[in-house]
Amino acid sequence: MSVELNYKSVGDAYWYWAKVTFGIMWFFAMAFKVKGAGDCLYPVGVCRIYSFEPLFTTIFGKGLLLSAMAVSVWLYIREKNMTVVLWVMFFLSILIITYQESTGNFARATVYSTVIGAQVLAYTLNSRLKDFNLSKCRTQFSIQMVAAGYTLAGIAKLRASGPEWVMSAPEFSLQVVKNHFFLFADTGMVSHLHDGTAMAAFLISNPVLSAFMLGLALWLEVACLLALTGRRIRMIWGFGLLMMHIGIAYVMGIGISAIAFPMCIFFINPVYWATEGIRYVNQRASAS
Amino acid sequence: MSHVSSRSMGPERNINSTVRAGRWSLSCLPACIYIATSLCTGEFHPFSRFEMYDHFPAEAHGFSVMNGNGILLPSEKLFGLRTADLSHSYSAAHDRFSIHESDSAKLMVRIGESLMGQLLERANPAVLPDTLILNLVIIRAGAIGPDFENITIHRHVSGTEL
Repeated sequence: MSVELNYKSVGDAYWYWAKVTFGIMWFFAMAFKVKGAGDCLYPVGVCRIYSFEPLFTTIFGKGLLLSAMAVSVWLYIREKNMTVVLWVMFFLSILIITYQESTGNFARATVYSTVIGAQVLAYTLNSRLKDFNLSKCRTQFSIQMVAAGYTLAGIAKLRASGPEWVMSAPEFSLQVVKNHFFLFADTGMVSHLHDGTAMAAFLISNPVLSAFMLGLALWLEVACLLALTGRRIRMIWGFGLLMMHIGIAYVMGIGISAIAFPMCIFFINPVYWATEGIRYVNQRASAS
Repeated sequence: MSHVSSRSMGPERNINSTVRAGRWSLSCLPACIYIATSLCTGEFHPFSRFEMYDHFPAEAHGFSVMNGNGILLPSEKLFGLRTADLSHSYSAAHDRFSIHESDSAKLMVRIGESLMGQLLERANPAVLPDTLILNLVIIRAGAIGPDFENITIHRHVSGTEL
């Protein structure tokens, strides 16, 4: 069975695959949070007004949330009633992430909500403004929110530590040991502790390399808005940030951060390039 | 030549510059507004300052769970809760309880009770040991490597209420 997808432009194809990947990723990220939600012990954000515990601690509430998410994502992928569907997804995203943060677990998943918020803005402006370029702006606004997240992370580092942040290899190495200690305490495997200690010793004994890596990471974050200036620079920035996340995951022994997935989808869009590659190969095969 | 003539067309030039300004603002204005609002608002989802690893203190905090004999219990396996999540909860509990509790010893007792409650909520009582000890582990840079200091913040004996 083959599915023929007709796009009006390259931008539409880019949007389609970004939307499909993001929609599926959002659904599983939110479903995982709903499934693992505990009590609202430390309310933050909207949960200070009302805890929403019945939605997250009862089977009926969880079922309701998961059903609403599934229907929303289905309509989102099929591009039906986008303004309404995006508002629903936006509120669900805010509610679920705020609730998870209210359980004491900061998952750093803010970008999921802001990307949907950006798409709400694009579709709302499209319904209000004449000659609004929805085809471009729905992708561009989403990319902006991802870039804004990284820029804020860079600004936070400069505000808290100043440019000296890049010279903090000895203190950074303690964070490396800490994260490997978490793995040790979670699993009971002493090898994690040895790995962390060895990595920390390597960072301390190579201060220039450590400062270079930290400096590169800080530059990628602070100057991330530069990625908005063109497709090619966005792709380069996307690969740079992806390498940064892989490096952090390896050095610190932690998983890939939640922000990396929307970044990968909107900066690089690997599924789009994979489909383009398949189409190119098929065209070459049929031509020969 | 065409460049010169286009410059001389005043109204058209104004329209072009307006269109360019509109395009430019669309290409970065939402991001700039979000950044400015987040810097003013702080942590109120969906606004955030993304303050992860923004500074590296001279000591780091970890957590460990032990039985009464001081043997480490793998937290994720036994409670389905990672100690990294406990660490996040520790910060959240500290922020929440420190508003009403100024005595640091009492504050630590309340935090310990809260964290132990989270652990017990997820655990299967059938496989739990009689005594559970929750330790705050302080990691500091030592002369030949990191030093680990264990501070017991809660001891739970089965049959006792939290």
